[in-house]
Amino acid sequence: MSRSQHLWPYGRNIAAFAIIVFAAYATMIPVGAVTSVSGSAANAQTLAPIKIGAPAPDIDFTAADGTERRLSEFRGQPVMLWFYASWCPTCQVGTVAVAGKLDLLKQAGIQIIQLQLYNNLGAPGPSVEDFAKRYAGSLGPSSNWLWGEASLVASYTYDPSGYPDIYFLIGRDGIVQEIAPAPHVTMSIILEFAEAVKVSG
Amino acid sequence: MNSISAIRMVLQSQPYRYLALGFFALALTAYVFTLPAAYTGGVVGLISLRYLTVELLFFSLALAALLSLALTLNLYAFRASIRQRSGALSLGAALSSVLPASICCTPLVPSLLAILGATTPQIFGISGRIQGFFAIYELEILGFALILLLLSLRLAARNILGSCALPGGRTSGDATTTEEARS
Repeated sequence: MSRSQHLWPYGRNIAAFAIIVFAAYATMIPVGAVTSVSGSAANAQTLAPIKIGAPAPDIDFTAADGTERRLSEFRGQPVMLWFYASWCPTCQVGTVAVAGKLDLLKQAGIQIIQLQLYNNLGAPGPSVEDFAKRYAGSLGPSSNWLWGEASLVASYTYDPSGYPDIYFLIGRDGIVQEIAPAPHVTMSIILEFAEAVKVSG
Repeated sequence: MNSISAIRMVLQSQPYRYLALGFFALALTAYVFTLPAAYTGGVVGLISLRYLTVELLFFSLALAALLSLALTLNLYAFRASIRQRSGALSLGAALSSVLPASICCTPLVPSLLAILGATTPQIFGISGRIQGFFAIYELEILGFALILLLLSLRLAARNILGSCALPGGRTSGDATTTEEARS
């Protein structure tokens, strides 16, 4: 057997490895891994069917205390409507980050509504109460941080792609002003929104 | 003991030592920035370091060390024209080590499902289960990647130690030399 025939099986492995890694990362870079906050937000905006500037669809949800609530109850108040899954690592660290900025958000009059996606998106994880206690501590639930579970219709309306961590910043007029994931990474977007609603309020 | 002997033998050579160090530096850099991606929603950058937990740091170091050794030994075997079968294991290990960080909590799965033609209800149902699996079993998957790399390293070591230099620059690891020897 010639040397080139000896080399080919090994070269084939290298070629296959290079192609697979390149393909995986080429796919990941435009739709997943990004290196900027704006890129991360842009990905979320691509996945969400609701666009910035559109009215936020009214949905119903079950609050942690068992009461049935509607999003329209909060019209006239800026809202951070946040859909999460309790097994999701970004949701966990994001909740800790939001808890750290709760005073600022309260001063801006922002109502945080954090809803566990329907059926926790099919994977097991802590309940709403356990999740809130573990990651928001004594700060959540509170008057401006409402916890609950989204219905199937609500989850599907705002997050048909099943992305486990996505939030919508809704103005007092009920219009969606920002869409982004991972609050701990995109906190600058939330703080800018808080500043803007404080000024306009 | 065989694996350690093979590693010692290869690393005795300065070029291979530097090569292994180079691979280790590259792999470690890649791992410390990409493994925490599940905590940053796919954002890869300096922010990744903020979410590098003790477990992820351990896996970054271990995976980088084993990957660099496996690559170095495989390259040694390649240059010595030794027929080796551990390339696929190294490939599998490298891929499985980055799977959890790539799949969980990034738009990758929903986007891929959409590209593959899944309808929106299907994406909603499947996406969370796939991402949830990788999020819940992240450390187990990384452990599996470690095992694959150990196996790959052991195979490469056995191949190197099991082959002898023959006249003509060939080694006993070549099938043709065995046939020629028989004839």
